[in-house]
Amino acid sequence: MSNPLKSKRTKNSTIQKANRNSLAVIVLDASPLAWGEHDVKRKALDRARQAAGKSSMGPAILEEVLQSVVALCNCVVSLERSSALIILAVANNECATVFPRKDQLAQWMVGSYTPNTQHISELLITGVAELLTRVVTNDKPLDPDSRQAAMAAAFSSALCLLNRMMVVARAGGISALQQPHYLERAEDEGVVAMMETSGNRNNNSSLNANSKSAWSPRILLIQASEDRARDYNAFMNCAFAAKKENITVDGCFLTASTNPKDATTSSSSRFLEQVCDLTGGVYSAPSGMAQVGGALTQVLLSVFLAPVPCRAILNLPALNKVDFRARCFETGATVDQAYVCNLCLSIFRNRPSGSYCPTCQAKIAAADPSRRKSI
Amino acid sequence: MSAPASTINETGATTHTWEDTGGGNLWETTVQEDAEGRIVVAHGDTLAQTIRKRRKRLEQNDHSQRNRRVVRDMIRYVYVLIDASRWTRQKDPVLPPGTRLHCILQILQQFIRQYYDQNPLSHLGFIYVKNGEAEILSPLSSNSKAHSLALQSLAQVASTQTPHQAGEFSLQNGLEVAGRSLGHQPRHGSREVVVLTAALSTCDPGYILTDTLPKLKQAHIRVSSFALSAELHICRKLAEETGGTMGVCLDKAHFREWMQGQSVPPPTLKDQVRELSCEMIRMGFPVRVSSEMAESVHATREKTILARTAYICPQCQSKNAELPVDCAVCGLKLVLASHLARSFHHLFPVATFIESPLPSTTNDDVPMTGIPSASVAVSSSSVALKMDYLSQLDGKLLISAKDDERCCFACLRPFHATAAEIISPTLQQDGEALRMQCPDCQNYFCIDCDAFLHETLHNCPGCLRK
Repeated sequence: MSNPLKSKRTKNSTIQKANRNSLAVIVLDASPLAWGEHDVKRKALDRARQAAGKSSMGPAILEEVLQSVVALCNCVVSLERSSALIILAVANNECATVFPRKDQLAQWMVGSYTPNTQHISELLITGVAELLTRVVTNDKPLDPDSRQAAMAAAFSSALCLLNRMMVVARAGGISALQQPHYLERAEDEGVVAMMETSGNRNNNSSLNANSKSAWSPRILLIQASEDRARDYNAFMNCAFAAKKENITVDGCFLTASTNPKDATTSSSSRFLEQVCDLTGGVYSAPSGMAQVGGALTQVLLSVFLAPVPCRAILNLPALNKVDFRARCFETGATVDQAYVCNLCLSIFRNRPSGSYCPTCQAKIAAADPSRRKSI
Repeated sequence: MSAPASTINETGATTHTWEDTGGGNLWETTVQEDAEGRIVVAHGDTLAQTIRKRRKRLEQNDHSQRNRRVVRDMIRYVYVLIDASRWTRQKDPVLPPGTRLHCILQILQQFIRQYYDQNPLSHLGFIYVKNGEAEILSPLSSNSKAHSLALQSLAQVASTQTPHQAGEFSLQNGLEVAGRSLGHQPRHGSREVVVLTAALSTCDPGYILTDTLPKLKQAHIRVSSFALSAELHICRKLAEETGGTMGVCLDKAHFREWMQGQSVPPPTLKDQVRELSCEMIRMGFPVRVSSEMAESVHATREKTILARTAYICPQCQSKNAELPVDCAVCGLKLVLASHLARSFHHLFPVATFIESPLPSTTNDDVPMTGIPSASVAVSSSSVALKMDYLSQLDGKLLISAKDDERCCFACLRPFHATAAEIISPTLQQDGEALRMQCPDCQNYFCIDCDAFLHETLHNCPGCLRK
């Protein structure tokens, strides 16, 4: 996100203009098992610390996180008059949009949008509660992956929602109808009207609401459960789609591990790191004390609140070492040199000993020095 | 959108639309008058039909990625042959603005970006044919900026020349130059040539079919061509014999879509000699480092630049500026895991969605709770109409498709079939009633999400929940 050196005035005006229509989507991971683990650890640690007379240092629990997220939402909504906010919640295999609900979203597209901060907190809490009830009363048997949440599904839904907004405001996005005159849908005029009349009337003529630079859509993924290995593909697809649509993705990983050497819980999410690095977002994994009490709210507000164009002048946590190395499909070890099958693109650390590729069962061609042909 | 250019009649031979004069005078069937004497185009496609046709065309296209789990060549070496002869220096009313060459170069700029996006491990090169000679404009490489600059320079040079100076088009020379260069590439990639021409004749030193074609087939080079004026039989013959595709330009949007189809990896050619086998290619995954002092780093075309961030080759520890690249010192292919991940969606495409119409609801069935009587369906006020279908949605969460079948699963856009009946004179609205269903997870999606999922995202949010 490095901008070339500009004069102060143009930098400020770029920030002003780009601030106008910020579109934020927050994806909150509310998986019961992950948060249950947090709860158990918290209770165990608290007992020890309270006996010693010290305050809590444990990982956050769901109630605290909900309060912090509500605080963040209120701030995002209050920061800019023309900003929009959508919240999705994920729990194990289910995911739903908790704010705004279907009818409100439709109304917002048609008419006016006045996010009521009380509404946000109410809908978020009832939504998460309903989602959790659904998941827990689901009579499917518990599978070993149950500590992991369907973040990829939520990420995809968030991207579809953003695409819908962007198509409506004609600022990009993919639509099945590519002729411009088809894009005038009467039902969605509300958003366009809202976006255009907000803000200073004087600046309105100079700013074209349809130009891509006037938008800064972003997604914040708050994850508490582990990465689902089989979703790597889907996650990367979402990341590439976000990059193409100029959507910035931020990541916040709430780890339950208090000891970095503990191998059962991870202290960072590889997927989130790669996605944030690719799209140019901010990644933060507050641990231990930074998750307790008001500290989590502080972290969320200071790191994730700033809209994208302002981030160039703020001092936000930088992602230094991203592990881009691949994992061998056979042994699971991270490799830095590997053999890649050219048909199925699977990665192996050692040349497969048999004569067939383990993934796609294609015969491995014998190395033949005379096979180079030229005209 | 125009009708397909050829149809198959009862005897099975392909006829062209312009030959079909049966069924009455074309003038009478397409142009009709309504009750007041105004002209109504009877063949005008409704929005829904336009969308259906587009989906069908994308699906039928052999190189489309919709739901075809075929073996594809992920690593490709593609040469694009640009016709810069006198045939493309004319203006074409179908391809505004500027000359045909101008239009070709414009679309190629977009193609470069999309090609590297879809095939990060592949190489691209450009050749231009002018005055009966073919020259390499930009050699095979993974560097998109070099190609962009080369195309821009060609555009500049071309704008200063007269059509007379541009000379003739020679297909054989172009293919020979491409073939010579492609022949040196490793066997595991697919070798392709894409010919973009507006010529109606070709001026060659020999016979293509007897001299060049056997060499192309022996080297497994696939030749596809796209004609901007009319189809050349030689191009079609080459395409059929080598396994490529042939297209004729209808308009600019069609041209763009055909080029986008070329950026999708084609299915692997199967021949008796080379049975379906894979090769294990050695690749390295570098680590990115940033140092405080700028150091010398290998960049493209044997240049070294001073830079702070670089990728370190795991084999020889030399620094390279950009990826994906062949290491400048030891020749190891350097890629990031995300480059490999970018190509996975070709192997696991999203299933094609099936169209499933909304169950027709009469106005009596729709509950009108809490909305005043002004929202009765026959009212023509658009505000009341919006209130009408809004009342169909409720504030419940949409967790699975069974919760609510009247709105899109991904973006929560409501489908309103009733709206179409009410305001039918406006053709624009009934497209909204189209509802696509995923065959795997049985969820419903709207047309925008369908286009977005299949073309950009390559994930189905419903299937990911399992």
